[in-house]
Amino acid sequence: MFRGEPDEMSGSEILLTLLGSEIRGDLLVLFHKNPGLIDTVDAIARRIGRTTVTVISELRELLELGVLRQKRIGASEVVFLDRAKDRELLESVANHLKTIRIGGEK
Amino acid sequence: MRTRESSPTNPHGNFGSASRSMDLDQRFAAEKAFSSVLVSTVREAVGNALGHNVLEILASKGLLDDASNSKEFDRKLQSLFGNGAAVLERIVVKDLNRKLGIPYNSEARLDYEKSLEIAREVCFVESRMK
Amino acid sequence: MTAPRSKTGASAFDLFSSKVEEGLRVKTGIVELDEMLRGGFMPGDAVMLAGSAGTGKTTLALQYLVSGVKLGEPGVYVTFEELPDQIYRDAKNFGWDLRKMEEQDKFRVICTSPNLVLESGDGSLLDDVLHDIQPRRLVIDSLSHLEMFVKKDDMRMEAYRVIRYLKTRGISSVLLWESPQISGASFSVTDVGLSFLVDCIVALKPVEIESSMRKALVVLKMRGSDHDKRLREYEITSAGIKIESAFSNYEGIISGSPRKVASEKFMEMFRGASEKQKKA
Repeated sequence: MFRGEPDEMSGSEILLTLLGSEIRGDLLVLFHKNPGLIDTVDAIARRIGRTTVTVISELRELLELGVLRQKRIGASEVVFLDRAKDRELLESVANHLKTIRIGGEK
Repeated sequence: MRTRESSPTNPHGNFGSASRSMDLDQRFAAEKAFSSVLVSTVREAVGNALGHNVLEILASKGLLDDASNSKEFDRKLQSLFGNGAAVLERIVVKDLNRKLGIPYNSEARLDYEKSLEIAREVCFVESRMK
Repeated sequence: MTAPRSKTGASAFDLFSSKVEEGLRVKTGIVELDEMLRGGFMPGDAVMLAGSAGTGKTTLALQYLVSGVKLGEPGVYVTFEELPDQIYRDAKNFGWDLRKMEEQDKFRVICTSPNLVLESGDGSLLDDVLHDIQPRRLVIDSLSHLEMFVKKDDMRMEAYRVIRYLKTRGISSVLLWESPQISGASFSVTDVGLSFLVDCIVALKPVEIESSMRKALVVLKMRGSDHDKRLREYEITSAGIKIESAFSNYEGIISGSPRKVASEKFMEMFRGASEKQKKA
């Protein structure tokens, strides 16, 4: 099982991880629109129109961050959104964005 | 304005003439309709990617007001998100293209400004056809 | 002398005895349906909601869960096909804000694969879901999807496991079943014998009457309770399912060949003849 250490990460670092790639963006959108989605990596990859091979490394980043979690059900490994962690991380992101003045000055 | 969920159109057709052949009133109405679709798409994209709290913060910084001005929107997004801006722009374009029936190619390098221009022209063509 | 009957077909005695246990019933929130069920479903029962595509199974199931939330009973909607996003949108059309209920931990829409629900033992998918919000009501949309992952011969056993799992936890479940056709006097609405496993069957059927499509609802079975045995017309309105009067002027609706009852035909002929005479 993958675990991250997001408690020590700043809002900007969290943001960098969340929006690190288009696939991660697609995964975020998928799970935020469907927070009750619980499925295998293969099924999730299909849902965003990708292959398992292209998705798995991106999924790993989000698992390490903690926004997604993984568990074994029978013979299958499934992935699902950790709603509480997701709220916490997005709050950190929001707090970070509040401090930024448009133009890049803090 | 009617938006389509499917039936891809050719985004590279000669749509450039669409806006020129419209009178001012038609053009104004079409621009307004496109702006409305774009703003709602940006709201959905940012809200779905980063949640509603983040969306409201961006709205308070005037980001949504600049949605139709792709250069300014891109600049502000870069200030706030750095490299992550490109990911958000892709999400916006993907959603916008889906609504307008324009094919989206995730392999191609994204030119946000050009993508919005194509979407705008498709909207104008749709408005003329009504 | 027969006991007076209410518009739902229940005798005064039936209504009295069912009123005693009405407080224990699981209300659907659809007033007329609760009357047909003499107060609601029995607590902890497994209810099959069978019907072909477009008959309003999802709407009725959502309405059942939303009503439960209003009564303080958390609910879970398990979907195998439609994504939660679609369910949220459909529910919003009826004025039901499922996302808000989820934020309040009163509701969950779970989207997963049927084979994951079938996995039993510690740490099963349903275990986590039940632990999360302690639901009293649960909908599975739909049990028919299990057929994709289970051999036909094993279907009954697998369905039994799921039903037993929910019943032993005291959860009042509604299990959707996509049936191509419900006809005849048989209780069998599935071709794998599931109708014998459930405690109650509510069937939804589109019917053609006088060149227009209408919808019919009937309670085919209800263990341990009397119920209205008539076919009632229903509509899907902007507020959800609304049940109208019984199809008392027609027969043969379930068989797919509706026709006016003899007495109604006679009345029509009589009216027709009467009109002609007046004109003459």
